[in-house]
Amino acid sequence: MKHLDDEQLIALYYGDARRPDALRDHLRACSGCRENFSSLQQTLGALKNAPVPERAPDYGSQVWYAIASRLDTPEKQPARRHPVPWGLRRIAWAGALAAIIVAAFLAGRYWPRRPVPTTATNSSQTRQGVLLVAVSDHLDHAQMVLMELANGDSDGSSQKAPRKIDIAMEQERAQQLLVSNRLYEQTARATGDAEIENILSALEPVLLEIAHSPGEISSPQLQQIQDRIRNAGILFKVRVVSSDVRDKERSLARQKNNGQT
Amino acid sequence: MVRMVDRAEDSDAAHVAQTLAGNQEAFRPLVERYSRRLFHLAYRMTGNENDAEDLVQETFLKAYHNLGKFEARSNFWTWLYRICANSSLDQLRKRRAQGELQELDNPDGSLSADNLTNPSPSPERLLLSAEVKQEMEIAIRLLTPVERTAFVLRHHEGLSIEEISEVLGLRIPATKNSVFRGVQKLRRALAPLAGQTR
Repeated sequence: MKHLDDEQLIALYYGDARRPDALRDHLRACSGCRENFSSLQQTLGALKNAPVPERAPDYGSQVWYAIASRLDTPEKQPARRHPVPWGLRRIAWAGALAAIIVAAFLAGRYWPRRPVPTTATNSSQTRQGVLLVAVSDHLDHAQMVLMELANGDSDGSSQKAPRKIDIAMEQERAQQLLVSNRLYEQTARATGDAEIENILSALEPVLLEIAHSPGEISSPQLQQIQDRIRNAGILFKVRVVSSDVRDKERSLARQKNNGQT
Repeated sequence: MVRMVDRAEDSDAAHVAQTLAGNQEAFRPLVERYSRRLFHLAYRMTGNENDAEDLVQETFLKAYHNLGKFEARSNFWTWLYRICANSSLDQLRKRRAQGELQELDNPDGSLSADNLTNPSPSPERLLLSAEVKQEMEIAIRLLTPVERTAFVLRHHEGLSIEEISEVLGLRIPATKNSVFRGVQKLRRALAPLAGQTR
């Protein structure tokens, strides 16, 4: 009997499961899964009960007095016709930020300066830390784009007419990510971080293909992109490196803290 | 989006209209009505009272200054809620970039005895409830800002995956995955305590 995986159990807990009755039947018959589900319920139940500090009954008035002096006339501008999606704006900013971080990082690394050992180590660690956070975020964004495409429904077999799939958002995100990807790759090369350099270099052709695809593609075209993502094992690699980068971030922060104490 | 339809909706729309017409005091009932609810959301998101209070104020200021962009057909609370969730997410990201959300986890994601007593070890044994509470706070800090936001909105606020993806501007599979990863990390981190909470 195949056991239920965490994804199914979590979906069942939140009422999102596709076939909840079948999952419940399985739970009735399988003590291992029942125990696992019960442990999940217990953890999530405990989290739900975590208290939130109460505010005074007049908290709303307090907030009003705190902000009243900072209110001027609200802008009566109409809503944008084509609001840029929140995630896209974030990635656009991430591209600009990448350029700043990389420039600052390289300037700090190569700018001639007098040797002051302790301060130099700290500032080098800080720069390294900022870069790791930035790369980690970059990989998160890339992972999201790849996952959305990899999980996209490319099965057009049930459709009578050829189906078009809108990937304009992913395409635009990939374009933005491409810019920061190149910058981070150059930095990784300059600093000799082969793991980051390799993953960014593997990501580039995939992002390039997505960025250069039309905004609407057919099911076979999506299938082609999905095959490329799958065959290159890129999602798995991104996850692994992303996790390593986070470990480095933590270790660097630990070193920093130990240095401060 | 958030389904919190009540009679307040009509009066919200009226207050918004009056504020837009230049009556600043008309905004006050909206602040008084929703501050506590927003504080709950902001606290769940940040885990810090001061940050949560700042976020509540920031949310109302943003809402006020952008009131012209609010569409009369929409639900004011939903709009406010969205501003607060995104502001909280921005703050989590800033804190992370500044290194404030520190690495309290082991590589395997579980929490150690040291984590429980950080940052100031106490010679006295912590009461179980305090210990559990602290573990939970530490555990939730292991989540990335997006995972944490998605988890809070799903778990504490009861938003559907579709509603969360709308708030976060993510596709549904990515939103599902954020919630899933968040829950998995929390389970791993809280596993050592599972026996004690029984």
